[in-house]
Amino acid sequence: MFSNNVKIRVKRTLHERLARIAEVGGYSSVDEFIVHVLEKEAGRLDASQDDAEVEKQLRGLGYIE
Amino acid sequence: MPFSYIGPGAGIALVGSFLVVLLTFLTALLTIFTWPVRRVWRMLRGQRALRHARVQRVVVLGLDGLEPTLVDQYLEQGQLPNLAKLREQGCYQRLGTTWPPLSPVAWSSFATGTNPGKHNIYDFIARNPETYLPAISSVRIGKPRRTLRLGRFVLPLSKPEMTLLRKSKPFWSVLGDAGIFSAVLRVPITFPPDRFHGVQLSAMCVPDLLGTQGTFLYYSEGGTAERTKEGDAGGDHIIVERDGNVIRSFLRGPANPLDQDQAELRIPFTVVEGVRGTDAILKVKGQQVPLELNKYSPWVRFSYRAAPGVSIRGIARFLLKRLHGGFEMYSTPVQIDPDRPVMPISHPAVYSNYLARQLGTFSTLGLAEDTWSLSEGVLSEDAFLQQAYDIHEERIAMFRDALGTVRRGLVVCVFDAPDRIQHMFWKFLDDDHPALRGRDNTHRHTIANMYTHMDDLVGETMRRIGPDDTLLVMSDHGFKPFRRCVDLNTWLLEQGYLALHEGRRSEQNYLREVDWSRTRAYVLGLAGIYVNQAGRESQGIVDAGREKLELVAEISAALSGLVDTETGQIAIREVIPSSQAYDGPYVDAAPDMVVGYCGGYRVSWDSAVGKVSGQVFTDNVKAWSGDHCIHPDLVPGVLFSNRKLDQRPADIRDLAPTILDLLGVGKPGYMEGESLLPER
Amino acid sequence: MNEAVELPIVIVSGLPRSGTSLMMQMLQRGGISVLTDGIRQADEDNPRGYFELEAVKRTKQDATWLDQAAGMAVKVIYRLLHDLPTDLHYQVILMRRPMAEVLASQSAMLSRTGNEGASIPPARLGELFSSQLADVVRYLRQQPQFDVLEVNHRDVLDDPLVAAKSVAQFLRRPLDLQAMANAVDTSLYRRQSE
Repeated sequence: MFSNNVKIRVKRTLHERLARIAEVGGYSSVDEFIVHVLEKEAGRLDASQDDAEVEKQLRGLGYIE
Repeated sequence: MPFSYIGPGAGIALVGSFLVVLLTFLTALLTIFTWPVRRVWRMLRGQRALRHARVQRVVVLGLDGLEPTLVDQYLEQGQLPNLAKLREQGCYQRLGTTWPPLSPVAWSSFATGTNPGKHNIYDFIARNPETYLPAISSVRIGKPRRTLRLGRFVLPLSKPEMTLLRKSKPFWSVLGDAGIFSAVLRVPITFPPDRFHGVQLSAMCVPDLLGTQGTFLYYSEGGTAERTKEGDAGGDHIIVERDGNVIRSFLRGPANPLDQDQAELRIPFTVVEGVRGTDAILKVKGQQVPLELNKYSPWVRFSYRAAPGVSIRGIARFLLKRLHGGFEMYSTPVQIDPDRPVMPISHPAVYSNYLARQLGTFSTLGLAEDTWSLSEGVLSEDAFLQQAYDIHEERIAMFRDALGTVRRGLVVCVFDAPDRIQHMFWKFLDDDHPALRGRDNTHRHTIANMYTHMDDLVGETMRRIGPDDTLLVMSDHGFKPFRRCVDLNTWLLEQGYLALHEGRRSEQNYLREVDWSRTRAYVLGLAGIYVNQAGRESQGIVDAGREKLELVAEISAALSGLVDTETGQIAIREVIPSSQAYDGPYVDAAPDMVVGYCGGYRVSWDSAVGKVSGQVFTDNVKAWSGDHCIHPDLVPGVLFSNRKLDQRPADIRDLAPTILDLLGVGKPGYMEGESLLPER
Repeated sequence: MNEAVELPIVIVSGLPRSGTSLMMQMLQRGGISVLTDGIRQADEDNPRGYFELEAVKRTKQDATWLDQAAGMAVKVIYRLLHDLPTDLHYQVILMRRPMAEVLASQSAMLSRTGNEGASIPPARLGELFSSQLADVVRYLRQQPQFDVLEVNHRDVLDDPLVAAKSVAQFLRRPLDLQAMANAVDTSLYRRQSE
């Protein structure tokens, strides 16, 4: 209830596949691997959202279509 | 050591005192009701697990920074009888350390059995590629997710997010999964604490209540109020008011996390001089603490009032330095009260309360020994030593308690006194040290005495353990003199890899005057060089592909074997690309090159905080006269054991698998080290 | 018979509201023809006019406007520089202005026109602009078809004649320096950061 963590569910087959990848990748657990991947992807998506905001500004100022 | 402010509001968690009490009560209730079940479960698991164990208990005594050449010397001189006995019984060898050989990096490798590419700790600080600013590498503190505004108060409705940035999994968690209990005391990079089957007290980098790595307070009547900093630790000079024989001043405190303006909380105090029977009396928060000249007060506990019913507890010790001819007093950094911690410094949360109740208040600050006050001349060498040994005694008490209560499983405790004392007193071993010029060698035997103290501790430990226990005594790295500074940022400037804005001399920290559009490489931190990479750094200009590879090769070649133009000695043994030093999912977070200085050399104070001083080679004349952030081959640590170990070269990453092997737990696939136990 | 070598195209670029219109005006007064369609009329934000060409916004799809651009000056916002065909020769005058001033000026313009801009905090927007501009500058300096001169907006206001000289030198063309300097009317330049 007061935790800063939430649980996510994935299909067992996907989990097993991720576990194999995590082991080869040097992660200590599949959880560590999943969190790392999600953090990287979130960073990438944040960056593309940022870019959309810059475009909005430039469009508002009439400099791009 | 330069650090950054650790985060907003020092990560202070104030969910409201009532709620805290309720939660604690409910947790306690739950713990009580489920105790019998959990006890039986653990007994069964523990017994099952330890059935495969070679020993019942492993005790690891971590003596941070113990230097093998000094150990050899003192062993030969007969000054370390207990370590000699341990060597007889079992073994003694060097222990390979990490790139770079820094405590946060090395202890993380100890904990996880991996290289930094897998545990993500490369230095005390990491740089933010967007802002080029430093941040503590091991912990991130965010703002509370939800808040409620009430007038001028902002109430946090959830705890601030605090994340340990050390990745991978420490071996005590692996033990815990197998049902084996561990007591992990003051092992660096355990803040916020891990959750596992055991107890833990956090260490490096637990902040003080100001959110820094240790800001001391220095009170006097004269002089100018100022703040001195080495990075974001340092000290505050506060001018006091005098009214006859009464001195008035205040204790600095945290920014009020409940206040929308985040005004700094303060506690007023008075010191009354010449009260009969004492030199002075400190009156603070209804307490009267007698002060004696040049003697530390005991820990004083007090609370800052953040809002009605909500307070933040802190502790500090005071040292009255002078009364007549001008009042002078020193206060340790104001620290988290272990009996009422405002942020989690132990696992379980009540463990620090338990220790405080059993053993008395103790220092909770990550870098507990206040080296900055000695650097600034606020504390004398002897006053600093007294403080360091007092903290050492506190640590021994916790260690004894753990040895007494954890009879099976693991007990590991790290003692920082060797590291801090060698940093600050190395010059007294070295008559040619620049920092010793023009002064007498008043502390020639301080370091030798410290080694003797550590040997005493080893002796006591050996007496307390049983025949079914294995003892490992280790250090995470060694030590060498730090006589000459190398300002790498100035070298990069002179070689055209770094540029400043037109007409600027860099007097500012954190690379603020750097012209990024013309800078290809820069230094921030103690050991690494970063490429100003396009697509990674926000104002990067070097292409990630071939251009970067060539640049790294070029700089590495130019710096490897760099000669100190003034002394003719080689300053840098080797610079290697991080791709050669590290392997794992987090190599992207590493600096692009790591620097292996020769003994006697280290990165300059200025360069480490992103300044460009203008001179590549200078003497190190600071009190901090010994260091170990050099080529790892030059500063291995030590490893003693009461049992025979394999005599192949040992590495700090081998300890985790060795401990697991001793306790009968299989080594997980991600660990790189190998057990040092001879084949069965 | 030898073909006359075509003059390079003069590009005035930078972040929006960094002084690009000012530079265009200076160039025009100095004797360089400006490629503009007059669609965006002079207004409070640019009392002397915008000096823009709508076709520039569609360069990626249709770059034919460049056929008549040799030797002429045209305003191309920093983000569209990537769209310029690589087989022509460009002299880029890149205007630089402190981010706080740029953002304030953009904000005022958006208020006045009632248009919607970015919804992220200005500090973040500033960081993104810096980062993107740095990328573009790097691109320009790496490509052989671009010659680049960076001009500080403040320098132009402080000493227009010196600025005019450096521009003329960069373009390697004889320009009426005094007329260029006269184009700078400092009273027009409000929204300086304190």
